[in-house]
Order: sequence, then structure tokens, then C-alpha cells
Amino acid sequence: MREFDTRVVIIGGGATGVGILRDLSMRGISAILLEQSELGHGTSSRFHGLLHSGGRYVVKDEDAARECIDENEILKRIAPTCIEGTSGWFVHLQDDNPDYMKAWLTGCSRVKIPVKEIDVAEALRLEPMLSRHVEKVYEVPDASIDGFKLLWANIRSAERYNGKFMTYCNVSSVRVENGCVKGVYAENVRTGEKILIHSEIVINAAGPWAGMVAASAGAQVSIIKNKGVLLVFNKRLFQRVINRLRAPRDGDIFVPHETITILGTTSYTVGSPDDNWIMPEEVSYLMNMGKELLDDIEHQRVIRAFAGIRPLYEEASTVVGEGREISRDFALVDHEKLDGITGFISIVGGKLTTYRLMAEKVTDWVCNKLGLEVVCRTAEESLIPPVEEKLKDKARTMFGVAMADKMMERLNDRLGEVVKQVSQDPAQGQLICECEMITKAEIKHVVHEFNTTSLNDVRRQTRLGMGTCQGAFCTYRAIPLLADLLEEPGKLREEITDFLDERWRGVVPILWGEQLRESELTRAIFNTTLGVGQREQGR
Amino acid sequence: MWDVVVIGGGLAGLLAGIRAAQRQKKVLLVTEGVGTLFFFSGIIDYGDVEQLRLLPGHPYQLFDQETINRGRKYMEQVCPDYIDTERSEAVLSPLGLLRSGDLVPKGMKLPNLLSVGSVVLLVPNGLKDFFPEIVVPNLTNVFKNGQIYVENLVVEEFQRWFELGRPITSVDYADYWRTQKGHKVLKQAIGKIKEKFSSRLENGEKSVVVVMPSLVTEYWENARRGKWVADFPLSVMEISSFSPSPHGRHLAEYLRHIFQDLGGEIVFGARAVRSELEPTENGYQRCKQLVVQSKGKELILKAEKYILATGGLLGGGIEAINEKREIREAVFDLPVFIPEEWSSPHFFEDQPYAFAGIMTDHQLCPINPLTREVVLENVYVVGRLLAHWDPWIQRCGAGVSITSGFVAGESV
Ligand SMILES: Cc1cc2nc3c(=O)[nH]c(=O)nc-3n(C[C@H](O)[C@H](O)[C@H](O)COP(=O)(O)OP(=O)(O)OC[C@H]3O[C@@H](n4cnc5c(N)ncnc54)[C@H](O)[C@@H]3O)c2cc1C
Ligand SMILES: Cc1cc2nc3c(=O)[nH]c(=O)nc-3n(C[C@H](O)[C@H](O)[C@H](O)COP(=O)(O)OP(=O)(O)OC[C@H]3O[C@@H](n4cnc5c(N)ncnc54)[C@H](O)[C@@H]3O)c2cc1C
Repeated sequence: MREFDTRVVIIGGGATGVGILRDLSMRGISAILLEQSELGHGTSSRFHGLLHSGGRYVVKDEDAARECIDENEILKRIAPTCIEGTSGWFVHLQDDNPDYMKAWLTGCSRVKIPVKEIDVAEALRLEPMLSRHVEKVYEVPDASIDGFKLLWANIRSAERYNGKFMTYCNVSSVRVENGCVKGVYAENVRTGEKILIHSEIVINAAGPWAGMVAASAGAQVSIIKNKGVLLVFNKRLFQRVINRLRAPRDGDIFVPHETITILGTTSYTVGSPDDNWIMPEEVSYLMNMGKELLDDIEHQRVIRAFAGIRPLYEEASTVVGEGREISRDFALVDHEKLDGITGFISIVGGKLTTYRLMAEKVTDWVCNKLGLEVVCRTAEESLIPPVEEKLKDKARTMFGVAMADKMMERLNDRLGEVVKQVSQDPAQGQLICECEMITKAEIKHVVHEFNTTSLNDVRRQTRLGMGTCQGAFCTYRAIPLLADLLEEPGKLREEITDFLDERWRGVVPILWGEQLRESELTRAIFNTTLGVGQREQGR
Repeated sequence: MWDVVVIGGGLAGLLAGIRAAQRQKKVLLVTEGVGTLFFFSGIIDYGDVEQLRLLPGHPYQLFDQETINRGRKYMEQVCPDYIDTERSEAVLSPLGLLRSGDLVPKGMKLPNLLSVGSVVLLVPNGLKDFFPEIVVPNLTNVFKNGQIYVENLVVEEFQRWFELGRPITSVDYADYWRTQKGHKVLKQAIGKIKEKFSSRLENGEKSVVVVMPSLVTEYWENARRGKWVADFPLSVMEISSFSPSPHGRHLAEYLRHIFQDLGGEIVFGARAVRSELEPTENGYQRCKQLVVQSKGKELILKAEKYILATGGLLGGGIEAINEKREIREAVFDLPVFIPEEWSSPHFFEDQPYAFAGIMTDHQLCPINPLTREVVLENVYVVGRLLAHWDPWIQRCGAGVSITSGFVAGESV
């Protein structure tokens, strides 16, 4: 068993976990983050991508709304390349409740969410797909945010301050002795190696898995696992985030991201954090709900469906008071007070929009525990170091403006490496993924830097296979890279199958129209042209 | 007034048109696009016909074995570049793996593996979607007694593209080899290889074979471009095509020319949008005329008989129109067989939706899947549009299209 020391262990590589790692590292506290799979394996990559303005919560929960608008402004400042400042509209339709609209306007002005009314005719001109039943339109500072980019920006920032992380490292249990946390037992899920990490503090940021992690320490956290389904459309249906102006319900938000749009969501309690399968009825239901905002929704092409699990914090009566504080939206559970275990806390609930604030509260608590007085700077310091203008220009001449800009957003300061590769060998500039415009050089870079061995990991890093073709061509083009990665050539077929299965999972619920057609092409290519699906034939 | 109007110019429609035209029928073919031939690997698969004939409703059940064989011979006759050895042949996939094929182009046929001493993989510089690093180890497996070498072929004309990072596809290269200059370049390159290996050959070594991606051998060049002679100093063996496919394109072009040479007429970019029906004497219905959209105009077409070859979900003959899984056939609004199950959770497993399509009687006239009654008496359904099969998993795509196209062309 491998052993080592650190002051703090963070369990979970979602937005909350990486936010904490960054904050701790910036405050000079040695910490390591452990993630059972790849970063963003959980809810932080299976969400709607809305950087809330707070408008959605303003009627029901003003505290949560206030947190959102504050964090919205902060994140736009510190993470501009992860965010697209689309702005958002709240749209009141013909038969929607006018009382709600009134309460909403009052709430916004109390919480100080800037609201601007848009003339309906103008609104329909700007967003021609919007339902003709619209009666009032208000603009708020909603935006869209890229979860992967945000995670990676946090990790890289943390690394600059000596923060450490390990992926594919599953925490099997929290080690507790005499009511005191002593560290964690973990296992490298790839090699099977057992690891013991000694630490003074353990932070449970395992999202929907938080209950299981707490239980391994003999503590208790009740999480309601709430599934939300989302549909991805192949183009920008709207230029702005479109919210329905009524009490929050299912299927009432469209969020545009780069070239696509996501419609969501639903809300359904499930038994396990991995329970994210999607039923055809759920898709039908969402399409019907979406139709109220977009009449012509049936003729739009859906490229996949996915679901995430919200880790909602259950307000058990035993928890009220001591162990629970801060906000009604997220909770910092101190297990010393609740379960008599010193040095162990769980951070649960919240939203991606408020991940930084959650991290700040957790880190304040850690400082307090360790008797340190260091202030939080995560709201001031930019997450992303600027890219030199000269390098930007070079990339733009090399790849064209559109492609270079997309690359820059993905790569930030690593752009230089990729540009260098392609200038040395133009063949490295060939596109592997034409939908997302990803070059061979970029994929090689990712594979090399992150010591990746699977296509699904490459996808999370680069968006490979996430465009309209959903893997038809790029999977084929990634084969040589894959062959390089795999130690046993026999695994190639297995790896391709895994990748296509993963893509297929998102396509199965939406198999109709153009996407069904595309799927038939993919099946033809892999089964017939390449014969990958079958055992080698011939003599 | 035509004898026959064929709707859809994929493999099934073209072959049906050719057979009908050859039988002295006056045939018009209207098609929106070139169909899935643009993706076609070049290899014709029939699959395990005997086994497939046992599956409920499979299109092969509509024909007897003898008819299937006749269709196969007919294809060979129309395209003499295909050799039918009455057993399946081994050919190379784009990754250099062995796969089987039932009718394979001469250029793809593997030589006697034991007689090959050296294999030279000739790689055109910057060729898109071709991976020598994968193909070479696979070739080593195939040519167990041979030695594999790789030669790069830098073509001046494409060097600029290459430097600009512009992709050079196998279609681009196939076209280039067919120019005078390109032919010369390739011939020289192969000549050089021969020189390099001459000492070995003189020493009584086994033969040298050049293996190439992209289309370099004859493959139906009698067409309008003029005869192409692949007179290379060494024997050249081709690897089958990835998409977009030069083999598929050339086959499509060739079949089109044959059809036109037999007096057939073609309208491209024409989409059949609906039809008008009329009752027949015996109480059934028939198609009276067809409405086709072409260049923004609507044309009315009349024929004695209509062959519907519009393809399946991929070709556009049927479409799953919404999330409720309703499927529509656009031209005649024919009743569609829709399976109860839709999909399987694993990509490589059977996908039940693939069995959706039009059911027919033995004459290929469409029937109602519930009542089994003939819906339209003078319409014949062929190719991928037929119900109860999956070309990709059953590996019989071209086989079913050829058989049904041939039969329809015979009976109209
Ligand atoms: C459908 C849906 C839509 C949403 N839309 C929005 C939105 O538009 N805007 C917004 O702000 N918020 C949104 N949210 C909420 C937001 O996504 C979540 O609040 C946020 O992502 C939670 O992040 P997290 O880091 O706490 O949890 P996760 O991202 O789930 O991270 C937990 C991590 O812990 C890891 N882990 C678990 N157990 C172990 C173990 N034993 N060892 C090691 N690692 C472990 C998991 O693999 C996982 O990666 C949405 C949520 C859902 C479900
Ligand atoms: C990637 C790929 C690889 C393949 N590889 C092989 C292989 O290795 N071996 C093999 O045996 N087969 C292979 N095939 C070919 C496969 O067998 C064919 O798809 C099959 O034969 C179907 O042919 P089809 O003529 O019925 O339909 P399609 O090729 O789909 O042709 C339909 C035609 O109808 C036209 N059309 C559709 N609607 C209308 C309308 N309303 N009005 C007018 N025109 C219309 C379309 O434009 C098209 O031209 C491959 C196919 C693909 C896609």
C-alpha cells in the first residue's frame, strides 16, 4: 500500500471539489483532490449550463437568488473564457399567472437583479423562434457556462499554487480513529493499487454520492437524488437564455451553448447516483413542455439526451440548527457537531453557479479548524492566465479565426504547445473531429499531458464526438491515437465499443428524424465498412 | 407516358432501371441524390443467404434461391469488374483487416498469400482518413509469409494543399490517377518500387505486390471518360473504401451511363413528393400519376408502372417523423411496418427500428402489414426500403438491393 501525507483531502472532482482545491491552494494549505473517475464525471458535466442571474429563484428563495447574482458577476470577471454572456429573457406567455410576474419584478428589485423590459415586437424580431403567445419579456444577466472548461480552469489555477489531484482514485472509506479523522483509504481503479493518505481534514464534496462517502466514516448525510433530463438540439435555437416567467417547473428553460441549445429539465427522485437512464416518455414530455416556448420544436433536430442527478440536501429535523448553516440552498455539514467526528465535513446541495461561494465557506471553515487566518482571494484573481496576443494571431492565421478561437477557449495557455506542433508538422493540423474542429495535435497533446488511455476521457477534454455526428467519423479518425495509447492491441475493438456505446446511450432516447438517419450512417460505417462490430472474417 | 418510372437512383433503383431498359421498356429515373453509393465500400455483400431466408419476413424470402443467383450473375454481367467466384472472397478493410465479400472488384482480390514475398504499401501523401500505422501491423498479420514495406508518394499537385492543411481525400486521389499526369506519376512510382526490389526478384524471390488505398485499378472505366488502362509494372492490390468512397462514386457513374446507353432517361435533383391514385377494375388501387419537384417546379409524370427505390431511413425513403416513432413513406404514403421494440442499449447489437420498412408480396407490390392485402397494384418496392432486415448487421446490403432491383426490372 502506498502512503503519503497532506493537510486536507477533498473527495470529489466536480465543481465544488475543484473550487475547494483552488481556494485551499491559494491560501497555502496543502491539499489533494481525489476523483473516482475523470473530472466532471458527476453532475458538473450533466447539467444545463446556465449561469444563473438569480431570476429563477427570486420569488421562492431570495437568499439563493442573492448568492446567484453575486456569483454571476464574480464568475463573469474571473472566468470569461468559460462563459458566454448571452443574457437571458424571462418570458410571460398569454395564460401565465400575472401575480407571479408581479412578485417576480418586486423580488428582482429587492435582490438587485438588473431587469430590463423588452418590447414584444422587438423580442420577436431578435428571437424569431419564440412563441407568438408571448406577452411580456424581461432581460436579466443570465449567461451560459461550460462546465468542463470551468473545472479545468480551477484545476490549473490550483496547480499553479501546488494543489494536487488524482483521477481514477476511488475513496473506499474515510479513516477515523477515536472520533478524529486521520485520512482516507483509496484505490486506483485502473491498477488496483491501494493508497492510504494521512490528513488532518477530509472534505466530502462527492455530490450525489456524498451520502455513501459519509456513511464510510460512520456519519450521516441525507441526500435526495433528483434526476433531471436535458435535450440537446443541433443549433442555436435562441441567441439568449429563455426562461418561462412563472413558478419554476419542468422544461421551461432553453440555454444556448456555442452552436447548440439545451432544453431542460425535469425533476424526478431516483434511488442511486448512477441512475441516469432516460425513458422515451421523458423525452416526449420535455418536447411537449418546450413546445410552449417554441412552437416549431418538432422540426428541430435533437442530437442527444442526457440526465444529471441533483444532490439535494434533505432537511431532516435532526439537522436543523447546529450542523447546518449558511443558506437554504446548500449546506455545510460539520460532522463533529452531528456525529462526533472531528475534522470531517460534507458540503452538499447548491448549484454550479455558486460553487465558488461554497468553496469559500468550506475553506473558511478549514482555516478556522487549523487556526489560520488567511483571506479568500478566489473572487479577485482571474482563473485563466491571459494568452499572448502574438500567439493568438499566429493561431488565427494558421487555423482561421473561427477554429482558432474555439481552440483557444479549450486550451487557453496550452495553445502554444499545439501551435508549435502544427507548425513543425502540418499533418498534425488535420481535423479528427470536424463538428467541433479538433486537430490531431490537440488530441495528442491531451493524451500526452493527462496520461489518458480512453476515448471517453479525450472527449471530456476536447469535446470529441460531441457534435452532430456523435462519433461517426471522429471515432474512426481517433483509432491510430487510440492504438498508441492501448497497451494491448486486442483492446482496440473494446475501446471503440465503449466509446460508441457511451455516445449511443445519449442517442437512444431521441432516435427519430435526422439523428436517426445519422445513426444509420454510423452503424453502416462501423458494422459494414470497417467490420468492427464483428469478429474478424475471411480465411 | 413512360412504361416505367423509377423513383430513387441508388444501387437498387439503377439496377432495376437498367434491367427494364434492357428489356426494351421506356424508362425514366427520377432521383434526388446519388444515394448511399457515395459511402459504399465497393464490396458487394450477400450475407448468409440460406440462414437469412429462415428469418421471418426477410426480403430474401420473397425470392427463390435460383432468382437470387440470377440477380448475382446479372450484376456480374453488367459490371464485369466484379468477379463472382460463388463463394465469399477475403478482401482488405480500410484498416487493413481481412473481411469477406461476395462480389469483389478485381482490383481488391487478394493474391495467393503464399506466393507473396514482399508487400509494399504505397501511401499517397496526406491522404485523409488513412492510417498506415494501423494498416501495416494488420498487413503483417495477413501476409504471414511476406515482408511489409511502406513507400510514401509525394504528389506535387497536392503538396500545396497539404501544407495548407487541406484534406486530400481518396476521391481526390482517384480522380488524379485518372489524369494523364497522375497516371504517369503513379506508374513511375511503381516503376521505382520495381527497380528497388528487382534484385530480390532476380534472386528467385517470391513476387512483389503493391497495396494501395484509393481507387487505382480499372473499375468500370469504359464510361464516358475514356478507357483507363492500369498498366503498372507491378501488380497492384486495392484496399476497400472509407467514406466518401471513390469506388461507390465510380460505380454510380458507371451504372448511370449503362442505363442511359440503353435508352433510359434520368432527372437528377428531382424529388417525388406525392402521387395520385385511381381504382382498378378488380377493386384495388393503382398509381395514376406522380408529382415530382424539380428546380422549384412541379412535374406530373405518368407511367404504366412505378418502381419505388427511395432507400430506407438513411436514403430518405422513410422517415421517423417525431419522438412518438411514427414513420412515414413520403411518395405513396404506403403503410409502414413499424417494429414494437425500437432500439437496443448497445450500439453493436441488433437495432429493431432498422426492420422498419415496406412489406410486399412476391411480386414486390406493397402490402398492408396487418391485412396483407396489396395496396397498390402497379408499384414495386425495392432495396433498403423493404421491411424486416438490417443490411449492416446481416451484411447483405447490396445483395438485397441487387436481387430486388433485378426482379423488379424483370417483372415490370
Ligand atoms: C439536470 C440538472 C441541471 C442543472 N442545471 C444547472 C444550471 O443550469 N446551473 C447551475 O448553476 N446548476 C445546475 N445544476 C446543479 C449543478 O449541476 C450541481 O449543483 C453541481 O454540478 C454539483 O457539483 P458537485 O461538485 O457538488 O457534484 P458532482 O459534480 O456530482 O461531483 C461529485 C464528484 O464526486 C465524485 N465521487 C463520488 N464518490 C467518490 C468517491 N468515493 N471517491 C472519489 N470520488 C468520488 C464523483 O465521481 C463526482 O465527480 C443542475 C443539476 C442538474 C441535475
Ligand atoms: C457507409 C456505407 C457502407 C456500405 N458498404 C457496403 C458494403 O460493404 N457492402 C454492401 O453490400 N453494401 C454496402 N453499402 C450499400 C448498401 O448496401 C446500400 O445502402 C443499400 O444497397 C441500399 O440501396 P438503395 O438503392 O435501396 O437505397 P439508397 O442508396 O438509399 O438510394 C435511395 C435513393 O433514392 C433517392 N430518394 C429518396 N427519396 C426520394 C424521393 N422522394 N424522390 C426522389 N428520389 C428520392 C435518394 O436520393 C437516393 O438516391 C453501404 C452503405 C453505406 C451507407
